[in-house]
Amino acid sequence: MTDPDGPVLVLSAPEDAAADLVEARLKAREVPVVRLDTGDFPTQMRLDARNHDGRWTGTLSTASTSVELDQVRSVYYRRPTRFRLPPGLAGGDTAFALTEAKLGVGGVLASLPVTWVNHPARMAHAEYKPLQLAVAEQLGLAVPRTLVTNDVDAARAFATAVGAPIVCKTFSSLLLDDGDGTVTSVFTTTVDPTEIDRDQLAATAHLFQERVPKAHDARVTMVGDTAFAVAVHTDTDAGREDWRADYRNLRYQPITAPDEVRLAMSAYLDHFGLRYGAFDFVVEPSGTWRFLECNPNGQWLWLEDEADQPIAAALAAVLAGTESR
Amino acid sequence: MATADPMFPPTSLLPQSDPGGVRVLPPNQPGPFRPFVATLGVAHQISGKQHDTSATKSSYRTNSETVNDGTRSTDSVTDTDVDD
Repeated sequence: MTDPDGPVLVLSAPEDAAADLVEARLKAREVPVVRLDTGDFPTQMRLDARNHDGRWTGTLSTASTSVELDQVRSVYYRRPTRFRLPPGLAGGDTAFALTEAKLGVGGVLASLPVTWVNHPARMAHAEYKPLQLAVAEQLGLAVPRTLVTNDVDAARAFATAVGAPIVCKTFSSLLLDDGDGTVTSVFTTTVDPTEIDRDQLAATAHLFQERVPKAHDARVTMVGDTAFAVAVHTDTDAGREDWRADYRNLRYQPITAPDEVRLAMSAYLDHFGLRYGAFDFVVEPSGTWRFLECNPNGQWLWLEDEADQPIAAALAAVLAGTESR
Repeated sequence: MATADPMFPPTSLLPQSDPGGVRVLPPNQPGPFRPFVATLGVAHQISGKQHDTSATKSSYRTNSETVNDGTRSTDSVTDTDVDD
C-alpha cells in the first residue's frame, strides 16, 4: 500500500532541529519530503479526505505545500504542535472543536497504511511506565523492584522490603507551569518513606523504585533493529540521581549494548509496534543492565551531536524504506 | 473535557506538543495541599528551542534551580535538545 516513490510526511513543529536533520538526510537520499505541522490546522491547513477502497485519499495542504494522502511513503511523527483554532470561540466550543479536530485529522492520518516512526496510537500505548516495566521483564530485561501506590503504609512496607534507598519518579514527562514564567520538572528523587505525608501520597498514584547501584547510566536509541548505545557519565549528585537534572556535567561514551539486551529491545519494539525507542538503563557495577523506561518519542539529537551517533541517517533509512525491518 | 476516558492517555490518537517539543500543563498556582510527587519538582525557566545552524545544533538556555541538602541554588545552563 505504500507508494515507494512517494514523499515522506514529516509531522513536526517548523523549528524542530531533529526533524530538520532527518529531512536533510532524506533529501540527501533524494527522497521527497513534505513537512507539515498539525498546529496549522484548521486556520492555515486544509484537509480534503475521502474514503476509497478501504483507505483515505485526498489532500492535506497549506498555502506553501501539500501532500496527497495516498502517495505518502511513510510518516515521521516528531512532536507536532497543538491545533490552533480561530479566535472567538467560547471555552466549551474550543474544547469541542479540539476534540473534533483530533479525532478527525488524527483519524485520517492514523489510517495511513504506511511505515510510521512512530504511530501516535502505538506511542500512546507505550507511554504507560507500568506496562513498560512488565513487558521489559517479560522479555528478559532486568528491571528495578517497583511499587505503584497511593498508600503511605504500602510505600513504607516496600522500602523495608527493599532494604535500600528508594526513589520516587513520575509516570509522565509533563512540565508544571508555575504561572510565573517558570516550569517545574520532577526528576527521580531519593525519598525517606518515614517523611512522606499520608494525605499527599493519597492524592494520586505514585511510582517508587529501589535505587539501583549504578556504575553509569546508558541511553540506547533504537531505530529499527539498530542500537545506538551511549554511556552517560557524571560526577555530580544530581546527575547520578537523574542525569536529566544536570545536563551540564554529563559525559558521553559510545558503547555496545550486550547482545541479550539488544535483542530484548528489538522484541520490545516489536511488542509495541514501534520502530523507534529511547531506552534508559542503569548499568550496575556488576555489569547488569537494568531497564528503567523507554520513551517512544524521546529526544535523540543531542546524542548525534555529543556522541557522534548517526541516528538521523538511521531514521531516514527506515522512513525511506531501505532499512530491512 | 470531563468526559475523557480515565484510562486512555489524552495524547492518544494524536499526541501534540507545545512549541519546543514539550508538554506543559495549564498554569498552576499550587495550594498548600499538593500531591507528594509534585512537591519534588525543581523549578526552572524554559525558553523556545533555538535552531542554531543547518547542522542542527539544538540548544537553549535553562535557568535551573537545584536543592541539595536543604541548600537551594539557581544556575543557568545550556541544554541541548532536552530529553524526556
